[in-house]
Amino acid sequence: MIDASNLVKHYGKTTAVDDLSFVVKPGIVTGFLGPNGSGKSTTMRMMIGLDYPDKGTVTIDGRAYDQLRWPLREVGALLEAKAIHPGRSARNHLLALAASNKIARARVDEVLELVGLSAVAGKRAGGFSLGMGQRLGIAAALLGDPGVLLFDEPVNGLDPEGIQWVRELLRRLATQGRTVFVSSHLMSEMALTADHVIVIGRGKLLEDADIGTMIARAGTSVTVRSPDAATLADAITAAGGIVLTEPDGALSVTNLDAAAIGELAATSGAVLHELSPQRASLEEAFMSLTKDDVEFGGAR
Amino acid sequence: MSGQGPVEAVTSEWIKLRSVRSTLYTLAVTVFLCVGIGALISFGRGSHASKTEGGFIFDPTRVSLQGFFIAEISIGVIGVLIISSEYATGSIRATLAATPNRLSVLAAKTVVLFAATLVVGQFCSFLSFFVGQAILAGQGASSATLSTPGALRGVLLAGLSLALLAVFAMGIGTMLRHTAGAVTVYVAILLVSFLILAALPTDWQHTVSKFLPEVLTESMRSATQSGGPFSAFSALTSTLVLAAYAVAAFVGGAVLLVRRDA
Amino acid sequence: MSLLPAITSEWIKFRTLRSTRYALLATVVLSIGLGALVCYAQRHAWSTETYPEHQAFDPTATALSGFFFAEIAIGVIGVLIMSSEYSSGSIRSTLGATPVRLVVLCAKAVVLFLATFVVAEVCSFGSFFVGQAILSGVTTTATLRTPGALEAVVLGGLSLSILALLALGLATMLRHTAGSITVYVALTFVLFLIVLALPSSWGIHVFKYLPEILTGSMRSTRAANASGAQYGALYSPLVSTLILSSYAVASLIAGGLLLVRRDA
Repeated sequence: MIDASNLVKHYGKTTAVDDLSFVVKPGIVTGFLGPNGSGKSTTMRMMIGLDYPDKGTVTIDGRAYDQLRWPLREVGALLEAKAIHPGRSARNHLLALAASNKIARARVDEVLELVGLSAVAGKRAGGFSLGMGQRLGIAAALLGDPGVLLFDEPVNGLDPEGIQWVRELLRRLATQGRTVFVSSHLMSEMALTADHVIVIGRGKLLEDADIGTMIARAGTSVTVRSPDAATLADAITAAGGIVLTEPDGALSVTNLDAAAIGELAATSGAVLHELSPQRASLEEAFMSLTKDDVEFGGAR
Repeated sequence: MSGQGPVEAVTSEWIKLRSVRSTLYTLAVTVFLCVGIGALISFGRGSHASKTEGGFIFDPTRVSLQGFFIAEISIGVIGVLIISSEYATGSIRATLAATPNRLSVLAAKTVVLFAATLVVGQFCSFLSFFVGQAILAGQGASSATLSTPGALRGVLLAGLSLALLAVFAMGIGTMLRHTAGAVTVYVAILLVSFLILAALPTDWQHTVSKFLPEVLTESMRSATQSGGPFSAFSALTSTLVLAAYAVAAFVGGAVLLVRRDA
Repeated sequence: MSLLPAITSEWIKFRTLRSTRYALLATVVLSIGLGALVCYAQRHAWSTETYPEHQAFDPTATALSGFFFAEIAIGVIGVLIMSSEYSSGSIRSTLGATPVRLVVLCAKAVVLFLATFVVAEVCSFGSFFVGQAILSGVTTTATLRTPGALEAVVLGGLSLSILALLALGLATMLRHTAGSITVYVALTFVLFLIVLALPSSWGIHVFKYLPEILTGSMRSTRAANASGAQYGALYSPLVSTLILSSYAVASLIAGGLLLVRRDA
């Protein structure tokens, strides 16, 4: 369990993290969401003692990170892909980390196998692609078989197969009862992996809810196509749904779920060509939640 | 359609040089230390003025420019970094993608580095000179003006010596592509060679000394010939020899840059 | 405490970088080679030199002339062991694995000191024996039994390890390779040249405290008159060792304070 309470961090005049409190529970994947520059990385750096909070504390199972006797056996962290000397091989990098926490050498080959880097373990890390670097970072995080795992944007630079692999890994680690804390700036990514999300913007907590609540609160929309659109629209409106007609004639319905709309279609005799709940609304919910808090937004 | 020319490459390198804060800090510290140490040495020598301390002629121009010892190191580091930092950060790939003709890249870097360090070098040397002479004169010691024979030449060549050393260092940086290695080699050639000189027997010293960069720059910033303990070329010949070092390092770097994978 | 595992970890890091191995190899080859070159020159010039020059000749210090180069190379190694962690970002892995930062600095200092000590003694004894072999039969020569010679050879090597620690402290403060090397070179070599340019009546107060003079005294059998009478008596090799060590300790303490206080 990770417990952050009233974290504040300034860099010069910029407030990176502003009175942030939350708890990350074991056994589930907790997503840490926010636009770029919202303070996610800073918060994670404070969790493992790289940056000192100006105010507040963060503890791991009740203790500050620097009080852990063998930190790598309790917490594994993937902070940035590039946390290795380019002249050192992947295996030697992991061997050095293992030695510092008295982790058996055999474990190094185990994690290299696990992340699929065994074949290049002896090569200089300077020649690694972004994806390979990311896999090595994940190997380092798993090295001590820790109960708490922090991953900062783990799918960055990975190919589709790698992304799938990371998702499954995160789920598996959570199922094993570990605390899994994953940051991302993509809601869609979190929708696929996280059980719970913590959303921040400009260093402030915006949302701390499980993914189901988040989806419910977002108010899922349903896209409906029907040759009898006008009839169906009236029936939906009568039942309390809100209907918007798209330029191509499709109906975008909110405030009523797909099952209810299907039943209405049956009773009113309207033919249905499409009836699909829209995930995009989750992304929109995230966007609307953070739109005032985007640090590096494009011109609009 | 007009292709990418040298102007674009030079502009690009100029933007890169001036937009790195550490370079600007380094240049500012260079000027400060160079002038400050020159002033300190002028003050010390002025207060103990004797025409021939240590058996050598008292050359007020050279005395005021002694802060160049430190400037030579920091300017060399800037010269190394202008290329080695591109390898350290990986930005060399973006640079070579933008300007695939590698010689153009190196030439553009050389132009920008030489021009920038020449300006800073002249600023250091004129400022050191005026501050130093004011201090010497204030203590009633013998001092120089720009119209003193050899003084203007000494001041101008002192500034030039920094620009030549910067290009020399850049050549080493291009050959080695590694900041620490290149700085080590640069310092070894500049200073270690000078220190080892003192351990050599006298007749060897006479043969070797005039080719050492440190003796060359000292000769360049002197108003009078043979002001130092080691035999040296004239100021103009010293300039040519130092320029030859810079050209040799540049050519060595260029050959390797073109041949190797980036 | 977890110092021993941290030391093991730092040792793995130290020996697994090709650049460090090259730098150490270059240190050995060039310091012995340059010392040999100076000895060769002295052998040739011996017959043309004067009696006072013969009297002042220190075959031990002459054989160790290549140490001027070794001093910079070893300093660069001392800088890199810390600054490369910052330039590569691996400091995050290192501090993540060992969050008590002083343990990291201590472990690095121990590994650096021991590794450079072994290499430096190889340089020192190697330079001494090669140098004496070249000088023999022409100039005065020394053996390890010559008064002060063994001390000079051992302390000459030790001086390099102490300088490496000084450099490590500087890099811990500055966290930047080029900047740290520049400051190191300024302290060791440039300061020396600047003091030489000052009037000797000023220089006399600081001369014997200069790192370059302290190391010179450590590797000399006759420190007292090594650099000419105008700067007065220098410190003995043992006192010089203590003063140089105090610089290294001060540098490490300052580095340690900043390391603990700052964000990584």
